[in-house]
Amino acid sequence: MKVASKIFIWIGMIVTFISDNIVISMMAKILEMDGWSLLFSRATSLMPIIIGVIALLKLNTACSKKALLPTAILTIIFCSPLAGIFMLCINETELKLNVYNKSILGAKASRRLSNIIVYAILVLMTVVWMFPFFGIVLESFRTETTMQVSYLWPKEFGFDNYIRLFKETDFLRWFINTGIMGVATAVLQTIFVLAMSYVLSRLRFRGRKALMNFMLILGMFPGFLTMLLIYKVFTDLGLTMNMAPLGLIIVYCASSGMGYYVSKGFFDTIPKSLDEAARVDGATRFQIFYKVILPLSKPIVIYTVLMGFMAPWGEFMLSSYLIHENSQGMSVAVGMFEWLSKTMVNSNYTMFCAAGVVVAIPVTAVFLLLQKYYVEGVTGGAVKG
Amino acid sequence: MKKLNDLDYLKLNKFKAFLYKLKLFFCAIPAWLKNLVLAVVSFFKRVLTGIKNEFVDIATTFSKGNWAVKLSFFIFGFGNFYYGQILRGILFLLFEVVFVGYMFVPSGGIYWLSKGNWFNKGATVGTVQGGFQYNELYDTDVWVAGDDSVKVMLYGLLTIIFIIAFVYTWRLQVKQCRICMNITAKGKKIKSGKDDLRSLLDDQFHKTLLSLPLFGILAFTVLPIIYMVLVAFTSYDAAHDGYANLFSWVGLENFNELLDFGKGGLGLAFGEILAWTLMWAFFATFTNYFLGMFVAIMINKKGIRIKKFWRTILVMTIAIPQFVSLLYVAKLFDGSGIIGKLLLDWNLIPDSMLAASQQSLWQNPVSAKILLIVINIWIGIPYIMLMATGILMNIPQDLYESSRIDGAKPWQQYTKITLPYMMFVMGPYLLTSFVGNLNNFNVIYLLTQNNQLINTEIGTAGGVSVCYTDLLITWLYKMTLNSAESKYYLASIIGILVFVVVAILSLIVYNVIPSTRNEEDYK
Repeated sequence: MKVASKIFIWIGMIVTFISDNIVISMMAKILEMDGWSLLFSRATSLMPIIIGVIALLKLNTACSKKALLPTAILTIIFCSPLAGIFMLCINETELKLNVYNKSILGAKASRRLSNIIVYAILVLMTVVWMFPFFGIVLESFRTETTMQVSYLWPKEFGFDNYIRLFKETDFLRWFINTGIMGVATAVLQTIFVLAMSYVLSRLRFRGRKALMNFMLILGMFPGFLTMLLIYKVFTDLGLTMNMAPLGLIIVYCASSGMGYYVSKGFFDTIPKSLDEAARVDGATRFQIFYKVILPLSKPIVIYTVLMGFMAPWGEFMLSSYLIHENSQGMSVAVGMFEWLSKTMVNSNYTMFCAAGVVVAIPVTAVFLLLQKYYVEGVTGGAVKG
Repeated sequence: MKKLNDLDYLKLNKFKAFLYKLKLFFCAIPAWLKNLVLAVVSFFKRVLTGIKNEFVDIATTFSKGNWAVKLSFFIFGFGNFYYGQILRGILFLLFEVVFVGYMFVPSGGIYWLSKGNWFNKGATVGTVQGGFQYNELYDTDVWVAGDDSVKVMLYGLLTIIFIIAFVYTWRLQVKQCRICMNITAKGKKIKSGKDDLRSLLDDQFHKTLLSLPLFGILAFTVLPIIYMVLVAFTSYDAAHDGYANLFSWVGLENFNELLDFGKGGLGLAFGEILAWTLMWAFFATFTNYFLGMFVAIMINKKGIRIKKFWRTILVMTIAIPQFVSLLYVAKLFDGSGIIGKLLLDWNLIPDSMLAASQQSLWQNPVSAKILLIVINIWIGIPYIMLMATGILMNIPQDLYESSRIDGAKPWQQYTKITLPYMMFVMGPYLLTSFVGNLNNFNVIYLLTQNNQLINTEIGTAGGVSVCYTDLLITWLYKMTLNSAESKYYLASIIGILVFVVVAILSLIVYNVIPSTRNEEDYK
């Protein structure tokens, strides 16, 4: 009986859900429902599934007919009358087994059940998280149209978009610009950040606390507004438009010392006794930094380099302001953003996807190669602050 | 108010305990305010006595010093030369020469300072207005350049900083002369230039390391921010750009303009955008936090295999440059995008609210806002997941085991062990991420700029059309883009107000959260 009721609950859940939805769709057309009311009625069609799951769980745990009764009635009404009736007919001895199961096998079974649920959620998440990436790759090979379409699988595959990308646009120039910016920022920013965080973490001097508080307060201003002045000055110096990449490198690096938190957290974890031992041996502070601490700091150095390299690829606000619609000085972000504007999207959409793939591949490759260090930085430094 | 002891407190039921805590919080406010006032007063007292001591010190130095020290009051570094510190002497002297030269050459420091009309309400920044004048040579009107207010303000600011630096250096070298005098009186040896250079790699190593980053911060953050604050008191906009038209000091009028809640005032726009900004930051932070933690717990669950695989899948979203994924996802939810079309076919949006030409989830204020938060979950979960994973591994496992023996259910374990621990460690991070979301330009702008949804009640405010989904940061970004409607002064006021909001929030949070951490704790 128990097996039979389980089977009918499953059937009931599926059949009621589907029929409910068909009925609701028909009703919606007749009654001209729309928006939230329709959404609500669709949500009610989830009812049989919820009741069904409850009933399934109850079947495995309830140990008397009395305990099963309310669930059975709910099942009759909402999910599957047949299953409910079966549930009412279940033998008391069959239920008694549940007591045994619960105590001996229960823990194992419930863990298996919860593991299955977790796996289901994780697989679902994988689909949701990966969907845009597969989507963008597929769209980049679409050749039947350059517009956006509402189906995923391309009707015709080809490399047209990639060829157009490098032949007809300045994309290569943007890519090189951003690459140069990435490398330069990685190097300079690492020097700035490491110097700052090392001093604040391991050297003690007058005004250290004050300096940290000062930078904390400074960080509360929206950083973008520094552009008011920087743009004016850079225009006079010729560091905007065509030369914007150079200007942007300066902007990214100059104030990067304020982002010392993560690496300071790392330096804080290196034991102080190392410094003291070195000082006893007569090392100067520079030698301690260079010969003792730096070799130990490989993870954080790589983390900082990685962050510096990634920054220009995704940054939009500052770069769009300095570049100011000048194609020769654009970074990929600013250049590709234009392609999706209302007037250009219809002829450039698939090309945008192709460009997205070209940009994403090197950056993602570098990132995934160095993933270990990134995770270390985030989990170690960021939390300790 | 009477404080309960621990036993009495535990006897209260949940509701009463909550009320008790609330009462405690509000009763603490007067004492807190009193402490604040006292702290401010004592701070000023300390500053005043400090200044007084400084002057007394200078006076005694002058009266008791020998002739070399006295002369170094007027000639920088003279004392250093006298006592054999050639290197320092040269540097000090050079500084004085440069300073005096800069101040008194034509169109030097004094010239710029005098042009500024500093904080003189109604007066222009700069004195000579450029304009077309008749030129006999060309027999036509020719542009004659006047002052550029931007430059006047910038150079004036730099000059003021220079003067402060000058006074500081003067005081520094006088002090040093006196120290030298005292040391020689005791018969000890004075540091030579060589020693100075060597100490830059040892005792003074922090100066060497800090010089470059600090210079960067001063030049590219501090100076522009001071400039921005000054702009808030002027009428600097596209029509008064400083070059063609001088802008002028207006005092606090700009604040009145922004906070004018009357009809046609900017107050409505500002209030609505601020409300949405706060709401957005709240939802974006907490949905991410709880869901990310949930995902981390799921992946770390016993018996789940290929943990590394699940993590890598999520980390992919961090790896791919945000603008690519964001712009693509925005298009996915568009009216003709794959998901957007699907959702529209299910009739999620009332047709009455959509014009036929703009069928899209982005075109409805409610669904657009929900979409933003949902997409932000997609972006944000991986970060929190990584962080939470690190913390979860640090929670001592015996806590869980002993609680299980005592009969705790998984849910109880979560609320009594995992969550408090997480909150303790991640409290500061939550604040940073809240502030980050207040200023989250990328997500909002990249997702909505190509699908603008103009706020019909407000329309245009501050010279730009306001969208339902605009945050303060995107609003001020649009305001400063170089167009004919740029309103730089409004942007800087909004910047200042954002600062005020963030500062107040941080103050409250740091006083409330348990982990107001001691820096040396985790060593």
